[in-house]
Amino acid sequence: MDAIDTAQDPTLDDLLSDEAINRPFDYYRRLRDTHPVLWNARWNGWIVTGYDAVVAGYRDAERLSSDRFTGPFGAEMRASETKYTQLIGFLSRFFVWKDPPYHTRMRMLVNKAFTPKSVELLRPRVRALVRDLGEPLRGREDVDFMSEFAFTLPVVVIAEFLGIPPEARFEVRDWSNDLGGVVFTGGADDSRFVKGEAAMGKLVDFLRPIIRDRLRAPKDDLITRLCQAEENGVRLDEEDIIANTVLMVFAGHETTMNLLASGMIAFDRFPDQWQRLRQDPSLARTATEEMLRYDGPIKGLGRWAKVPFEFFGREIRQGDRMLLMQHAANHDPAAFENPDGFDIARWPNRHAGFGQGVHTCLGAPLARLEVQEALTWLAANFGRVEVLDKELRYARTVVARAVEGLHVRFHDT
Amino acid sequence: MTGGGGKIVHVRVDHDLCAGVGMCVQFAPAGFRFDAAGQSEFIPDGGWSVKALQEAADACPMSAITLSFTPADTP
Repeated sequence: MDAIDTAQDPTLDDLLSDEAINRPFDYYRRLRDTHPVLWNARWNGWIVTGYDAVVAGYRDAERLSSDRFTGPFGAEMRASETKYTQLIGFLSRFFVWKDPPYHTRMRMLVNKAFTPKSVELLRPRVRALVRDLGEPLRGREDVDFMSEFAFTLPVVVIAEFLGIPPEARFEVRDWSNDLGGVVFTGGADDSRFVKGEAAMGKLVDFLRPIIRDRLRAPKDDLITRLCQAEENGVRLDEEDIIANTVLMVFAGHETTMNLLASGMIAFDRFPDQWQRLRQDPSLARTATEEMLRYDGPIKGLGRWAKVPFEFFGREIRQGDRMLLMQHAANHDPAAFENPDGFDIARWPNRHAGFGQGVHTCLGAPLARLEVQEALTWLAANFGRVEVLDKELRYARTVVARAVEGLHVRFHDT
Repeated sequence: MTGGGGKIVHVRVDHDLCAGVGMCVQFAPAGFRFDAAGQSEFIPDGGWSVKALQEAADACPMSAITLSFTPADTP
């Protein structure tokens, strides 16, 4: 590799260091300042931190693959295939880990349910749910924000939307956490696959009867729409429906939960922005975008090169792995004025918080709606947000930006 | 760009919003293509139908495509 690479400063190579996990703004700034496309010997791949490079990488599905079952990410998955049949079998149907044309077909089938127009119909229900969850926080000295608000809102919304009983949310959360151990982390740790296999088995046992019921007796929910979805005469088979329902349960709550949490932390740090939102509630829309830019819930995702090509002055070899770090891109001073500031009226805001390109977050319109409604209600009802934790700790993963516990106080004035 | 019914359709793709998802390219391939930067670009002479353009605009997860109509005799 090139001489200017990470060898000069070995601390740059540790993607799971305390700095990288708890102070990603600092860590990824150091990476980006060294080079926006930097070779990482420890991870054995390229770490992309410049805005232009991250966006270009995400938009280049032709040369950069998302496939986790072939290429350099595939070996670990394939090696586990015979041992963890349910887990690997269903994960291999996740369309987030597919390339066109399979991905395109799946995305077109599910896209309609998640368009801004479709999710707008959920706004009254989301608004009511926000109020029901928000009222009990009033006057409390210490609110466990994750369990009392940030987790419940998105998981109930996605459960109702899909058509699965919201009472099952705690079980679903536990299974999702165990799946997250497989999806969000790498390495040869066998125990996460054991847990993942058990969790996938339970999710499948839970979902299969619901899906069979909808195939027999259609309802007005997303699982029914998945059962009925048809493109050029092709329908999804039962295993595809199960796999992609699991994917939506999983993707539908964890990320929004973490976004809500990061938002509260940002408003605690920038109290003037909370006052600004209170004075002008119409800023809830741009504030949501700024939360996604400032501290979004996905720090970055992996790709691998299907062909050799030149990329921002680097020679990428066929089979090279690449981490596209949108969290870093969103703080690139070349793309954003005052990137480490939190400005809820920032517009335009061409952040990459949802990713970019054909894999851009399917649930983006739903996440936007939930966060807009949460901000609107909370700002209308509370004068100030105070984070009570002296020190915030984040989950040790390269992919997710997930605070481990958040205690807040919502002040009346 | 006549869209039938004596009306002219105007198509705008807002590149501050477009994330290059490409739903428009899939749903209305005669109306939209990717530009060099991977964002959506309208094809004025693409042989599209207004119905397909509308479907593409509705399918956009970023609400980046807007259609507007003016009567054909408006200058």
